[in-house]
Amino acid sequence: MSRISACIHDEEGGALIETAVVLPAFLLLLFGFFCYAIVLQGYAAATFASWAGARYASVSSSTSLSPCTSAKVSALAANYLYAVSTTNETILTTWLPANTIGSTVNVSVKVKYAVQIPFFGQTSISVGNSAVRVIVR
Amino acid sequence: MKLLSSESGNALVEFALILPIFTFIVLGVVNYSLRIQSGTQLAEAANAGAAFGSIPGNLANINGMKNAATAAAPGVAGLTAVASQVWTCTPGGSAVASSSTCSGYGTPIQYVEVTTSASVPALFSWPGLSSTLTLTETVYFRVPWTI
Repeated sequence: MSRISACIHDEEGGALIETAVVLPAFLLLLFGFFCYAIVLQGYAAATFASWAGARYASVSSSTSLSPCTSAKVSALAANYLYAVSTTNETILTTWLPANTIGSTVNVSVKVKYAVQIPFFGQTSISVGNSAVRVIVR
Repeated sequence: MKLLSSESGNALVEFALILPIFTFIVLGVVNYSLRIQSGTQLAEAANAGAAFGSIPGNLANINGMKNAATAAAPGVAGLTAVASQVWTCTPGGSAVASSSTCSGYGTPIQYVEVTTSASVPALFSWPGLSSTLTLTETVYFRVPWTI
């Protein structure tokens, strides 16, 4: 009886058990930080890519010395993105109403990231931004 | 007496005391972050407007600068843009009249100035505290040459 009682009231190994309980939650939090950091970086990259694309399009209208096309804007903007594959990048350039001086150009960049957080399986997060500029040249 | 000297549940009481303060701090951080975001968008819009004005031939196109600024920030509600031309005798110096003659430079250096502002509401507001804040951003661009 005294041996069982001693075993029940024994507090040795308590820290180990607490660590085992907290570890999954801690890892969840830690890997969440990692994933979120990558996605945030992707958001910043998409913002800059749309900015650079819109800037290029705004000085390269169809009447300029080197007219830009949707493909050229996409190629330029894609330089600033860090997606795993180009199929995860969506770059849309729209001119309103046309690719001429005085119109506006909208460059929208979206990047899809696959994220894997413990216990939540694999999901994907899409981030993106767009920039609008008036065409001047 | 035993109940009075008992210290179990202490952490719960402390947590209950701190929670309201902590909540207010977090909500304040969220409000402030959103305003920083709006400020960045306003600066971006002013930049786009000034970039438009500094293109040769657009120097006097005040409405064009305003439109370029407004178009560049579709995410900011109630954005107003003000554009003007500025002349100085030294780079970044005080403004002078366009007709003045500067020693050394001759004709004054030309700048365009675009100021954007918007009244940004807070996501979380409390009675007694003003929930909107007017943010203003100004961008100067030097006009390289005129045509």
